[in-house]
Amino acid sequence: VGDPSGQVHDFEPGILPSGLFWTIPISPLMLDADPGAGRARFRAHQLAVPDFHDILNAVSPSPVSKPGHVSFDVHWTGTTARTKIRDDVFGFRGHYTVGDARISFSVRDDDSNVVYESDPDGQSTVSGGVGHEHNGVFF
Amino acid sequence: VLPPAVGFEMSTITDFDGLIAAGESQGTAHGSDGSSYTFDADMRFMRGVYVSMDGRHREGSFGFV
Repeated sequence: VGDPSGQVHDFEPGILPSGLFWTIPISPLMLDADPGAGRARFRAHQLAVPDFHDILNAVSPSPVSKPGHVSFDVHWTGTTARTKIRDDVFGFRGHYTVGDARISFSVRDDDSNVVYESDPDGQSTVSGGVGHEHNGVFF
Repeated sequence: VLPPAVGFEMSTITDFDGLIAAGESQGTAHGSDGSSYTFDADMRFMRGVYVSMDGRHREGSFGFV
């Protein structure tokens, strides 16, 4: 996560009482993948996602948010050979391809006419990958 | 929740067996009002089998936004 100081928008689905963190059910039609090649795509159009303003508010005990909508298209492109990982401490294993993740997005608070869009040039991938993961009872 | 990087457990679903893609991207963005910003996006999806709250094995797709 980037530096939250000075952050003015934080679009994410929130944290459920169960602990489910920023994770929502989605249609499989929003996904495409070729994990063997390290390629994948995740896209959404006008998905209702609240704006928590900043991550410190979002993870606070009493977060405040306002309604918003986001559209995005994320592409993963593999850059390495597939590797096998097993972690007995955290209890997961899998096969993964490290790669770049590029996003284009358009987001808006519902109470505003201002639309924020990503710029196509100058993006960098901090980290990314595509794979097949097993955890918990499937470890 | 761990970083979206190979070597970490990237799934945000426990008791999960399936496809995952995860990544953190940084860049710049602009508003229709002429404003400009930097952004940091952690995006992930999971598609596969999981154990639901009622203990049953189910198939599903999830997005981390």
